[in-house]
Order: sequence, then structure tokens, then C-alpha cells
Amino acid sequence: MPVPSIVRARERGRLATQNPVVLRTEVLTKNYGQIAAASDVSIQVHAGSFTGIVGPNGAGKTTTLSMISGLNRPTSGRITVHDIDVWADGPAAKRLIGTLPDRLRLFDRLTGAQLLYYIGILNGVREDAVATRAAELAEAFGLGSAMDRLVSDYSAGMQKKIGLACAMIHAPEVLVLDEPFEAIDPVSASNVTDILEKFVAGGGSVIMSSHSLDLIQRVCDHVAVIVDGSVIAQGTVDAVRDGMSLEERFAHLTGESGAEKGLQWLHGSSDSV
Amino acid sequence: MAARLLRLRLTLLGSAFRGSATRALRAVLIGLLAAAAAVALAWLPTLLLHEADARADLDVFIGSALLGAALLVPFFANRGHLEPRQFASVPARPGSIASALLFSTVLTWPAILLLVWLVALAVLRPEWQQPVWALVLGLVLVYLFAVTATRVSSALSKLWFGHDRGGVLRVVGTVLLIALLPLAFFGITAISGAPEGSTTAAARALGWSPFGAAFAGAQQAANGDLGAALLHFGVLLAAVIVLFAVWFPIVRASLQSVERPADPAIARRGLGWFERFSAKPASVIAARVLTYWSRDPRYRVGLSAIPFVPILMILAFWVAGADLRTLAAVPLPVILLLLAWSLHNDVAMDSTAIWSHVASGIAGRDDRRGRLAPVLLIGLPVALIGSTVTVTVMGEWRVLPAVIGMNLAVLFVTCGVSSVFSVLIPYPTTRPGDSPFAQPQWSGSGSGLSQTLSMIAALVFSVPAVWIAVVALVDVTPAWNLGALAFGVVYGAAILGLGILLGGKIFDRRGPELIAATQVFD
Repeated sequence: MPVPSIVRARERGRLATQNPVVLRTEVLTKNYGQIAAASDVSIQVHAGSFTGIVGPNGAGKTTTLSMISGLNRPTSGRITVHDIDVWADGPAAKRLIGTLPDRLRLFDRLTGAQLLYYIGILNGVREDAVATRAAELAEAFGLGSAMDRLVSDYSAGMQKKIGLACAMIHAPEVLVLDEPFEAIDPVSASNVTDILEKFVAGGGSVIMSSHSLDLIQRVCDHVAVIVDGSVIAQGTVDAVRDGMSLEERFAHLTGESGAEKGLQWLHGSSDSV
Repeated sequence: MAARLLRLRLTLLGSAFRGSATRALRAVLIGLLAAAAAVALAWLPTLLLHEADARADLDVFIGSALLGAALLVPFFANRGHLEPRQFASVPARPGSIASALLFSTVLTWPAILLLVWLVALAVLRPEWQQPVWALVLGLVLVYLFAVTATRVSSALSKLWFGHDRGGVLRVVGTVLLIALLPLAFFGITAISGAPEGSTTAAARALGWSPFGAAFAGAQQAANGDLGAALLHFGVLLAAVIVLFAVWFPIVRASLQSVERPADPAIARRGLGWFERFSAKPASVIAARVLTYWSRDPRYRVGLSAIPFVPILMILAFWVAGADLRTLAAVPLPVILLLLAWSLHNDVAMDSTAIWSHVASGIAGRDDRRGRLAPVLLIGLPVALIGSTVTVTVMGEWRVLPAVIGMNLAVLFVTCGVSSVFSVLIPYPTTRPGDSPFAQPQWSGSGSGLSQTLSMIAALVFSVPAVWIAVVALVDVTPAWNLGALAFGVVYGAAILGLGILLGGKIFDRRGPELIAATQVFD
């Protein structure tokens, strides 16, 4: 009986807390006019940890992650990876970061093999290394037979997987993944989890967002809860859930128990009667 | 060594006749036809011209063309039979390899055909046979020159450009050849129609170059001026000695040089355009953009209108009563302007996928440089070939430098301007995957502004080069023309460089804003 990932995650959580902090955001704020998409977000990610960011839709998860990976300029605040400021020394910091954004296109008129080669070279990987890494990544993500097809012909799940492979090809220290498990089937999801766990076990760090509390609880060791652009709780999963299930704790934190409010008109009777 | 190489050459020659009977028959037929053509080439001037001096002028032109081809063609199109490099592992001194290679060239098809032509020439020019030693000396020198020139240029090409760049060289050679064709046609019509004096002047000038020296010398000897004949032969002899002198060091260098191992290419084998570009950010971006141009119909649709614009312009001017000969200079710069201007919204064509350029932290100037590839790959041959067509239509080949300078300047300048505007003011375009005829999903300010400003900027910055070229077109002097060419190239390249640097700076600084802009359009 293999050890379930949730057990490994709890164990890892305790150990990773001892490790130095690799990624640090300091009072990160992003305003779109009057609307604050993120306000004073301070998150720390330890080496060898698998950190989840959870929050309701529109809470600012994507904004925060894209600021970390250098794709969205913060209004104020600071982000450092290994003490390199992402927004002061972009090229150096970006070598250490692997990014999978959500809802942004890939260069999908390339074949899978071309895309991996392209992204690898852009990220400064040496040519001979790209070849072996691309082949191994394709194998690991189960894309081997699809490498000669155009990425635009891939299914949504396969596009996520090739995007993940692209994020990893330059062997980054930190992976910043926005909704990596969206549209991925359950079998592939456990495969991807394995790959990410191996990456973390090798000393890398992952910060990923998800709106699936169950998933976060299962695979992550650290978690940050973001609501309305602010971090309202963070720490190891055990510390944050405080004896409850993460879902109960989340409902408690956000002050929403959900179902009973409104929508009475939707239930029971129909207008057409 | 020499005997062995001769045997190899003989086998190579014989291989054309091996195989099925039809194949052998075809080879024999082709060989006979080629030999007949060589004889005809020597015979034709006697048919066309009856006056000995005029005939000699024509022989100078024909001989110069052949010897020029012997020097240039192997440089661009060498098939790689028996090159110095191949003998690196043979235990022989470089000197003996070099002389054996040179000697065995005698047994190649071009050398045999050249010999046929020379012998036919000796037989069919009775007036040249007067001092026989002069004729023999001249033709032997021609033969030596052709053989060494072929070897030297083929070996130099192999030494400078490794075997993996043979395809590129062949393409460049083909473009140059096509570009020269209208000029050659023009030259032939001009010579056949020109008054006696100008043809003779051209022949006299060529006669002092190694290419035409032997034929001019033979005619001088026939006219009894042995001193002038020897001077001509001396020019050719000097050229042959120089070729000999460089041939041996070239062979030594070829034998010692180590070619870059082909191994890294394995990584990009089977990746289409990526195979042809090196593994650097700017180069892979070039390969990616070329792949997109060939796969994504949006780019083709954008380009398809370009040829029609100048046609309409010409029609309009023609109806208005402008002189067609002057109008000939107009279409090409317009085509090049529109071609390069098609890059002015290139970032928006990538849509949100541009994030991977920003996230990788590449230098903005690499992004800018890479995107120029398709336009330059199409634009440079079009500019060269088009310029020769232009001067042919204009009927004035002396303005060719100015026309080339103007067209290159327009191409470069517009590329530079587009490099800045595609990061400065991206505006909504058809999304990837949508029908190329579909309207963009998002409209707002930007499109009109960017199009107007970039076009105006391209026109304004083109003005200096076009102005100087027009001056050279009006006042046809070699100095003005060469000046216009130099100015066009240097000025265009400078604006292009500035555009790349400035566009790159903007890209570095505004990467996140570019992503945000494309997200709005998407």
C-alpha cells in the first residue's frame, strides 16, 4: 500500500517550514483604478514546499501569481526569488521561475516538439539539453505520441500539460502555476501530482492556485487563503485548518455558509405554472 | 596521388553512362548536345558579324561571361565532388593533394566542354591563327584560368561556409542569378542596338580584365600588334599565378580546419524552420515567426493585397498622363514599404501568447530582431531582383546602384519603424484561429492612430534616401549613383538598428503592459 499523497504532504509541511524562504512577496498591491485586485499580499514560500493559494472566484489569485511571475506589474510592493527582485532584475529572476498562466494562449501554431524547443531556447537552455529534456518531459506527461501535432489541436487538458512541461523545461527553482489541474482528467491529475511532488522532493518549490479546497488539502503542505485581494490566513495546511476540514475552515474564515441566502425564487415553483 | 585521383574522376565521369540503357543513351545525348552547343557558341559570332574587330569584341563578351561563370558558379553551387576537405585523412602532403586535385579537374564535364569550345574557337577564327603561338598561348591561359578559378572558388566556399550552409548559398546564388537576368537581357539588347563606339569601349575595358584578356590579346596579335597582345596575355597570366598561389594555402587550410560538429543539430532535427536557425533567442523567434507565416492564414491575407496597390497606383498615374518610364521606379518601393509595414502590429498578432516572451526574460531587441526574419527573407530578394527589373523597364542600367540603394533604404527604414510601433501602440487584430477575414472582437482607439503614425514615420524617414536616389536618377553619374547606394544602405541600416534598439527598450520596459493590452483584445 503506497503512502497516500495527503500523508506525504503533512510530513513535508513540517520539514519544509525549517527550510529557507525562496519566494517572498512583501505588501504586494495591485489596483485597477478604484478596485483593489490585491492588497498588501505577503506570502512566503519555503524551499521544498508545495504551497496552495485558495480563494473564491475573483479573489485575486491570478493577479497575485502573475505579479510573481513578472507578467503583471504590481502597483506597489516587492517580490524576491532567492533575494533577486523580480521587478528590478527581471531576466535573472525569471530564469529561476517557471510559469503556467491561466487563460493566456500558447504559441499553438507550433507542434508540441517545436513549442518545447522554442520555450526551452528562450529560457536559455542549451540546445543539447533541450532535446533530452523535451523528450523526457513529453514522456512524463504522457504527450509522447502528440509531439508532432499542432498544439492548437490538443484538448484543453493536453494544452495544460504541454504548458506545464514548458514551465519546467529550464529546470526552475520555483514553479508558479495558475490552476494547473483545471481540465485535466483524474488519471493525468495524479500523474501531474507525482511529477510536481518529485520536483518538490528535489528541493524545488511550487506555488499553485486552485479553487478546489479538496485538492489543495490533498497535495499541498502550505496554504494561503485569499479573499477580496487580501491574505486572511496562511501557514502549513494543518495550522490553517485548525482541526477542521479545510472546507469548513474556509467557510468559517470567509463568513459564508453559502446555501441559505437568496435564490428562493429558483426553488420549488416555476414561473410557467 | 594524381594517378589515383584521375582514376576517380574517370569513374565519376563514367558513372553518368552506367545503369540502364536508356539512362546511358540519355547521358550520351546530353553530352553530344552540350558539345554541339559549345561548338555553336564559337561558331555563332562568325554567322552574326563579318567584320573581324566587331567579332573579336563579341568573343570578348562571350569569353568573359564564361570565365566569370567559372569563377562564380562553383562558389554558390558546388556539388562537393572531390573537395580538399575530403582528403584530410589521406596520408599525403597537402602540396601533392592540391596539385592532384587541380590536375584531375581536367576530367570533369565543364572542363571538357570548355576545351571543346576553345578548340572550336581556334579552328573557326582563321584570322587569329597568324602567329599560332599567340593563339595557343592565349587559349592555354584561358583554360588554366578557368580550371584554377573553379577549384579555388569552390574550395573557398567550402572553407568559409560549412556543408550545412550549402542550401543557403545556393538560394543566394539563385537570387543573384535571377536578379542579373534582366540586366543581361538588357545588356544584350543594348549591345546589339548600340552604336559601334560604345560597344568597343566596353569590350576594350573587359579586354584588360583577366576574363576577356586572352581574346582581346588574340585579336591584337592578329592585327600585328604583338606588344599589346603580350600585355593582354600578361594580365591573364598574372591572374593565373595569383590563383595558383592562393590554391595551395587554401588546400592546406581546408585540410587542417575542423568543421563544427553536426551533433547539436540533432536537437532540432525535424522541427521545420527551427532546423535552419541556430539555438539563440532571436533565431528561434525568427524560425517561429516564419512557421507562423507559413501556417497561419492571417499573415497571407494581410500580404495578398500588396501586389495590387502599386498596380492601381501605376494605373492612376498613367491615366493622369505621367511618363511610364519614370513611373517604373514607383512600384517596388511601394511594395517594400507595405511589406515591411505589415510588421507594425506584429505583437498583437501573437495575442496573449506574447507572455512566454515576457516570462522568459529575453532581451527586447532579440524579440525585435527575430520578428524581422520573414520580411527580410522576402524583401531582400524582391528588392534586388525588382531593382534590376526596374532599371530594365526604365531602359537605363547605369542608375541600378541608386535604385538598389533606394529600395533597400525603404525596406530597412520601414522595418525599423515597424519594430518600434508594434510595441508602442499595439491595436486589436484578428485573433489566432479566427477566420482571417473576421473583424477583430474589440475595437477602440489605437488602430487608426498606430496605422497613420507608423506610415507617416516610415515615409518621413525614407525621404532622405529616396531624395538622394532621385537626384542620382536625374543626374546619371557613377559618383552620385554609388553614393546613393552607399547612403541608402548605411542610412537604412542605421534607422533599422535604432528601431530595433528603441523597440527593444520599450519591450523590456512595457512587457507586462503589452500582455495586458493583448488580453483586452482577446
